[in-house]
Amino acid sequence: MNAREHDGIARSGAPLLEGTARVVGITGAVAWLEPEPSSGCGSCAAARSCGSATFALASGAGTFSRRMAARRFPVDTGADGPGLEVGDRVVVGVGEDALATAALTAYALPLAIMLGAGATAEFAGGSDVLTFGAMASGLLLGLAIARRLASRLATSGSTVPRFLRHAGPDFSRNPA
Amino acid sequence: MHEYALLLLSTALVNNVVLVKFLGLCPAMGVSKSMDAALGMGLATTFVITLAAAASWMLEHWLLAPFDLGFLRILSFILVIAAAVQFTEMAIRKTSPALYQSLGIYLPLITTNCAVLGVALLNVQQGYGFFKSVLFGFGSALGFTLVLLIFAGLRERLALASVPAAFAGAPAAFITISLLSLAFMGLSGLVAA
Repeated sequence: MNAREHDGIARSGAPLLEGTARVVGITGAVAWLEPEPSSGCGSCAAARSCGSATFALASGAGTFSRRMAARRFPVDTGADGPGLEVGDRVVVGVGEDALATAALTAYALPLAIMLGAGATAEFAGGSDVLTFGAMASGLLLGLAIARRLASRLATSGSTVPRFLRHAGPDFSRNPA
Repeated sequence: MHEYALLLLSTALVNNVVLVKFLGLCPAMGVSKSMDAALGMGLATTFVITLAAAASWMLEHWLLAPFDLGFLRILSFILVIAAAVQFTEMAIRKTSPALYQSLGIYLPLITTNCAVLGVALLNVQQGYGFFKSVLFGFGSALGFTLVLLIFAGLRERLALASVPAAFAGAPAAFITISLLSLAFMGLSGLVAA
């Protein structure tokens, strides 16, 4: 999802990281959303001459907008949903705690296991090649464990973005 | 063991990549409005910098140095960093599709983070072995994450404070990070670089 976060508060009271997305398809009670391409520092005054902003606005293979298209995600709008239509801009949110848990699971765990394996090989007197082999194995093991934990998190549904409200028109994309 | 601990302390605190080397200031200013966003960005960057440190060491010692191709260093390191980001994105997408939705946003931003290239180039100058190079990258990234978290915490508090209109927003953030930089520079001399 888009990283433009605000100080949102969910109905349950938990703080949310909010982002804007565009509705690109509707199948029954499920709306398919595409995050809007925006760099994390897009609001910066120097955005027009910045590499990050240039990447964000470029189109074509391997670019930010193509990655966003590949990142479409479904949101359940329910039977008596908010009446979304294709092309609508909406605000979606994911719990801040969920983001931290997801980051720790996906990045910190494989990294810790990789470094642990590397340290073990290094202190055992291994060569650079042996240490590299141990670290590569540790990384693969860590990713496998992260996959198991991630599937548990997915089952709980805490990391799934939720529809919050309609968003207004995006004037920032009309520089004139 | 002692030297590894000192290496981590030195890279994370004494020679902090953001506040002492002044690398990666753009993401430090842009993605530090909330603690959780900062943690997400920091951990993603830590993962990529550590992988890039390992990959750039192998490239330098097994290809560039033996064949005297040092003039291709910056070009090839940029390629390695882009490949590390792509690998990370692919790995997260395959292993944790649900997490990918909420975490994937930070990955393209890392490609344009000059701290990643800076750490890889500094690593070559140090002339460390493989594991120490990886620790150098990990420690630098840990320092980046630490600054991001401290700065995000300060900005969260600053958002609740009554700041004069002329200083609200970016000016207060710049003054805050300057003071933070002064504080970190006070650690110089704690560990020899």
